[in-house]
Amino acid sequence: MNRSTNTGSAVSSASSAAQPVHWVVYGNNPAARYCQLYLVQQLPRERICVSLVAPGGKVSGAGFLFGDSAMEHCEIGIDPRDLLQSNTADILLALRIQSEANPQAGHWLASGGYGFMHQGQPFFHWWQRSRTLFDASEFNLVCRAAEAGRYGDIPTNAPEVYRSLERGLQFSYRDYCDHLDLAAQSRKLPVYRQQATLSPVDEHRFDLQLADGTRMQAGFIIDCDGALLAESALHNGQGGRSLPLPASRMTQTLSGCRKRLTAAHCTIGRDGWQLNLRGLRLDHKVIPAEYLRSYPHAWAGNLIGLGAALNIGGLAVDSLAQTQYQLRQLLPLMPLQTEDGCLRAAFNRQVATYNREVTDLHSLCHWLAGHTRRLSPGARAQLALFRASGSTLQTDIPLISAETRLLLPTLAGFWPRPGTIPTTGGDSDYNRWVRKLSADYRQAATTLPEYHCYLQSLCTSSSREKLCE
Amino acid sequence: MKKIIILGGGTAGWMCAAAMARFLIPRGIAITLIESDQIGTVGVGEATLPHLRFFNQTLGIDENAFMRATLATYKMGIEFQHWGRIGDAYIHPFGEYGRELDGIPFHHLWLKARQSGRAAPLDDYALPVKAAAAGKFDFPHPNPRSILSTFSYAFHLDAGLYARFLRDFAEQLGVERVEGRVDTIGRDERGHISALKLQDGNSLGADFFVDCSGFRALLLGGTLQTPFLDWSRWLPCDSAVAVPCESNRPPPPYTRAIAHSAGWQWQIPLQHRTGNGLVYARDHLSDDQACQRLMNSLPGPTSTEPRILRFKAGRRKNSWVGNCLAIGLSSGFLEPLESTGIYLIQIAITKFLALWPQGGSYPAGRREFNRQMSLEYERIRDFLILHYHATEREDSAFWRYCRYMAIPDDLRLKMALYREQGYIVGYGHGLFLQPSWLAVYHGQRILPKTYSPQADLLALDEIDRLLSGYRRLVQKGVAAMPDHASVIARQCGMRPLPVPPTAMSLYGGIAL
Repeated sequence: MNRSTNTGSAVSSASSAAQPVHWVVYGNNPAARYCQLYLVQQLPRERICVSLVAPGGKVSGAGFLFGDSAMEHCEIGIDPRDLLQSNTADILLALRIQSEANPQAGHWLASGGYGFMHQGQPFFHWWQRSRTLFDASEFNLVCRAAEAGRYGDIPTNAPEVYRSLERGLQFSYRDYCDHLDLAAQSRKLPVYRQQATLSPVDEHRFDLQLADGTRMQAGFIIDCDGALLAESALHNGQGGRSLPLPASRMTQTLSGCRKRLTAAHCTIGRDGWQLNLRGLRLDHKVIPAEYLRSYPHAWAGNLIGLGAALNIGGLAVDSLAQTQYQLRQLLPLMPLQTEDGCLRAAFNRQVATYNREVTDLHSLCHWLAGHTRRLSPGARAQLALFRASGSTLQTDIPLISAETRLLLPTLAGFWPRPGTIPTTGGDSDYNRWVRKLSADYRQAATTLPEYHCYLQSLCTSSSREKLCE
Repeated sequence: MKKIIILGGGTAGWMCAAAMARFLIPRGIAITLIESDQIGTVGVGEATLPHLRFFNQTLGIDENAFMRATLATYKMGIEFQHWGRIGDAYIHPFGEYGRELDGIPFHHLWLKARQSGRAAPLDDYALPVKAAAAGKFDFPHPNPRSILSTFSYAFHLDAGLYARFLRDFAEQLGVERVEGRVDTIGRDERGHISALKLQDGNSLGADFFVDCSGFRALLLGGTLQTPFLDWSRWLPCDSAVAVPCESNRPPPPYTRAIAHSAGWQWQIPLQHRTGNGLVYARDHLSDDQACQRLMNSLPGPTSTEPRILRFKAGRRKNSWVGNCLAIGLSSGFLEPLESTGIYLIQIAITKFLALWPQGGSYPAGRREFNRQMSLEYERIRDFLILHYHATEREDSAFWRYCRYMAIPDDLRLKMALYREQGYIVGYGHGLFLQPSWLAVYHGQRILPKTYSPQADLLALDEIDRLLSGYRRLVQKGVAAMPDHASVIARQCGMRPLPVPPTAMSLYGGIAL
């Protein structure tokens, strides 16, 4: 009996490709720059060369990344600590969400880190009994620390409440692009700062026609902007599909001094939302009766759309985070010579699944904010399940923690129907326990260093390790 | 909701009763189980997956007591013989192959090294494969950096004894057992089930009913007429003949699945006997031939007559209809090639409890439950089909059919991606994850055309060092492990060691 049977010789030399494939990334935003650095970092130079074509114009906007998305900068060869040290970004622990109608009554919201399982009950269930006394954020160290302006390394022997200090990054797009431009420059990566349009090679493939008249041959083109995807759709006579997400227009103003904080503020109104972070104020005005249009396939021919190009909104998941996820899907499916049907089909399927998740989350957020009366089918199912049993839909792509997903409707006053969530524990025991727990969280937050002290301590090696874990 | 009736008392019925006793009786829900001693049980799933440990742990069942009560042995994987070609053998382990480096999956590094003739067989980098083949077993180490943490384990058990064990557990927690056979099933004006009238004239009403009546599916199929989705065109085996035999050698820590000309044969080692069965397609093998073939290949003597089972691969379109939930064989059937029977029972119970309609409003939870269960079934189905389809066998009409049959689109895409550049599709929920797919692809002779270009970021010498080091760790780890039989004796003896906690996972068995 042959215990190890696979003696075939089908594997070919991966390094036998004669010429590196030329990939062109198009866009003047964080995602395009991230994309170029990612591909160069993740693949050997003998296999791929990556040019960035960045159309001119000022980069505006700001955004935030949570959890893995924030820490994945190690994958482009940039330590997130460098983004903090260079004042390109700040740690983001939680958002202060408030309503335009009642700006005094706000809630802290983090992407995770709420409580823990207790007696077999998830946080959202055991918290129900005390929700009139304690805000959910009182059982979240991240929210407590954001409120207190504190952040630091978690002690190795930390008690239970410390165990989830999920952090993100916040930044203005301009600062972020400047930082990544320097990284590209130091690595001598080709960058062309001009407009470009598609130049058809055949029915399915394009090169790029640069504004200076140069025709740039491309094995593959990644569009992080959307202009090329729109042009291609026009070329092929295909329109986008309407999503249940309201279109919006963003204006940016300086909101005052640029104090470094671990929190950002979001004010929700019926006709838009306002985001304040790192000294910028971003006003997003909903355009009545106008909806986002997206594309059914991210990859067609040799053109691949990522992030903002796919136009699925950015209310809760930044287009850079979308790009990061899509790039991770693309990397193992990247064709080495010419595009292959099964790789493209798999990528399109994976991106469609991810985009549906993001669209559902955005749809739910917009609906809860009153921006639209349309709800995606997934968001509708989510809301129905929440009301019926205080649960979330199972997903292979968790964008935010289950607890945060459950808390979102409560910010707009939606709760599970009475009686759907079981009550646990004896009253006096429970009240004593929950009161002490809240105090523990408060105490734990105050023992963390002030954020500015943390920033000063960044030179130490231990901080570096913590961030890159 | 005040009362639930479970119909049927096999493995599914008593697993369900035990879980409901643990989680619903404290909430004031009365649980009644109706079964008849006159009706035999199929005794599904003598071989299990590691998730069962989590189920027992959640219920508060002591694993050593469970081992003693069910005469169980430990299981680190499944050995498949003669699947790719006659003479081939590989083990699908409950564990990892090597470890990824800088985000590059291990098998790509191995493929690169192999191309240069600098890699040992893939199995040499999987501790559970080497340990199982050597008849060794130990509990996984809690330190995730240890080579001894790279696997999980399950059990081979006596399903009848397990049901009995759970019955005692459930009855102690307040489940009422009613002896009887159902005569008629009452329905209300909405079409929901309202009561079960037994042959002795007794009528039992409830708010909710769980159908664990096995293949008969008395409630979901018989009464509610839920359509059955037939998958027999992809999984053509429709019968099995089973017989236990004596065991006269130390039990191996793995199940055997031995392919024959019209199906396959299982061998499941328990403490006191070996469970045997032959799965076959009647279009290609008669019952008599199947019985003869099984009896001729038993690893020990038997005094029992073989028992024939009939089945059809597929599932009910919905497992939860109205106020009726089907669990186990009444919900669907997938042959026990990958030991998924008990897993499907367990996952249905845990999903139901998570979506528990405490307020009595079913539709949203029901819709989500049915969606999740259909994903579970389909993901397992595709993995099973892979075993039949990824073959080079042409020695019988059965294997020629399997080799050239049209397969589901999802599976076709998965196989094409692996062949193209070694990409293994992953998902967050359900069985099976990447190492399992790798085990079967590789074990059944599918090799990618190329490895990921990411592997070229590392020099061959560096990969060589990594592989050699890991292989040495595996060898040392296996050498340090005790014999499987001695661990069983220790854990079922007077001074068992404490059992490590577990998580709901096929691979990383340790709860961190």
